[in-house]
Amino acid sequence: MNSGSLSQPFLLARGVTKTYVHRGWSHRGRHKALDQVDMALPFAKTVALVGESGSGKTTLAMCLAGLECPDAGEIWMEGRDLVSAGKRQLAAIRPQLQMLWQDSAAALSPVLTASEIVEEPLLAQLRASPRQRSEIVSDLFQKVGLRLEWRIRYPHQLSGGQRQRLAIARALASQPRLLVLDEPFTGLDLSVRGQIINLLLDLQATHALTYLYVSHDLEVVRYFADEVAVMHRGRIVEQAPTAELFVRPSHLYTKKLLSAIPAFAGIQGCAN
Amino acid sequence: MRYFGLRMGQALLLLVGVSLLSFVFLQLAPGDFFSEMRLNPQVSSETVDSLRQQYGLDRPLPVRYWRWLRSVAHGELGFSFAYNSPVAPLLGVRARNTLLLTSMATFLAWSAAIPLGVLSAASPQGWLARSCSLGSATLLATPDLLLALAGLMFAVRSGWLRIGGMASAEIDAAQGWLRIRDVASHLLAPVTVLVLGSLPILLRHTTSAMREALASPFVSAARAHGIGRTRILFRHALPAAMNPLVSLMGASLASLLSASLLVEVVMGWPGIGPLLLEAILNRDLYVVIGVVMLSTFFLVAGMLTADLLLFVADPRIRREGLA
Repeated sequence: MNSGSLSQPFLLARGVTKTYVHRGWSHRGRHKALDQVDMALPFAKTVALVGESGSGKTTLAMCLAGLECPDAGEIWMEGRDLVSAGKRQLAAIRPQLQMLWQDSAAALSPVLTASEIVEEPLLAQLRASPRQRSEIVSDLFQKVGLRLEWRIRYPHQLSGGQRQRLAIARALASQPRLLVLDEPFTGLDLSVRGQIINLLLDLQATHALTYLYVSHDLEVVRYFADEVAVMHRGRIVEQAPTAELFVRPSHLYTKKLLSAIPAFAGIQGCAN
Repeated sequence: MRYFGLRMGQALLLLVGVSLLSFVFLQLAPGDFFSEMRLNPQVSSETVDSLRQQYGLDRPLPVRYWRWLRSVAHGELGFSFAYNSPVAPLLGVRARNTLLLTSMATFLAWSAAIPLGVLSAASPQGWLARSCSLGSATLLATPDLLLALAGLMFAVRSGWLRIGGMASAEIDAAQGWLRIRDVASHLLAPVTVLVLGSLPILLRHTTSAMREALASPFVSAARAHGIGRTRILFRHALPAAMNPLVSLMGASLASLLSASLLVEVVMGWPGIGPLLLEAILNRDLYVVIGVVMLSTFFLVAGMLTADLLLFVADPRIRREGLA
């Protein structure tokens, strides 16, 4: 694996392994979702994680976000290992790792209003008066470009783009350092997608956020990510700066992945 | 609100339809209250005929239906041959007894099902979830009759619980605390049987709705934000899992009057159950129709209440309802 990190890694995964065991009454199945994954996320940069469905992208993303616990391996973040950390330590670190989901409707509680949704993390983490919390919520709404009069709306009363903005506001409420983006642009129309991408790029610049972007969409990856990691059957087969990877893919599977997309088949042709 | 007006109209139509059908079906059944008298050699055929005439049983069906409707309008619900009195007051007392029994049982069953279901879903591999699942499977597989008989046997053998009727004879006249305690001791056995009978279904629905809610991304998000376990369960997951449960609550409200028929008959609780059984055996026409109508009324009212509750509980439906 060639790891061309641009700067000092913010998060470093080593030998991360996760096996799902299915215990049924008729049969037992084992599925190795992650097999000795090594990965580095450079500070305040975006790494895209690409690969076919079932290659383990989402499992890896959940592990790095602290929502799944790997069976083996280490995940180092600023001198602390998430895997071996105790419950208390993990609870302290976890709010710094936030996630955006593909389906924004499922990612927001259907029975809470927009402002309640953003307020929940504040209730868990801050000792603040209701008034202070309300100010923070307004501030977050402004940051992500939501109108204040939408505070009393429920998620189903917002559009897909507005919901994704709301999810971003909620994530920011925990003052995260890492944001795992699990295909958050899928299902948004092109102009809204552009707005959300630009919002995330702005937030990255102003808040020094590190992104892990899980995606199928190589076009967005090329525009959005600084590095690309290619995942195949539970392993990272290649990780390289975006420009380099798209022009000179070194692993056979990466070549196949790129050539499957007509637009990139052309680019590859030029490079050869 | 127009929607609820429409629903009320539908409910009224349903009640009329059910009453018509009960009349027709009871007409189709052979014999009437006075048929058995004909077998008695001491009662002359003329006497029976005059009795039938007196009670209007010789009239054609539409006339009888019309008369019954008029008596409903007067709040009498027809006349009982066996009790020689209007049906309404007769039903009133019995329905009150049944409601006391079933509302208690329903309340207790839900108060047990929701926390147990939530906790089972929260740790599906835990001992609580396993024993709940085993227990509810066993109870589901046990016929209600067997459960009632077992309860009866336990009460009689142990002598701790009182069985039969609603109050002891010597305390019947007493008032206040003593009477409440006496009724409660009579309630215990039938309520327990009813709770055990309905708990497994409620528990399974609660558990599966909660498991679904707990698997959704917004719960993962709440975990990522470091929100506590209890708050995730009760503030985030449970309200989102509430929809199927609210519908089920409507159904249990709807069956308040009919759920306990069997238990009442077996345990001798003076509710609707024994009354209906007796009335059917005697062909006491208007009592049967009265019970059917009252049950239908509760069914309709329960469904309406469930819709109203959903309206309150789920902002998504609230929005559609107002639009």
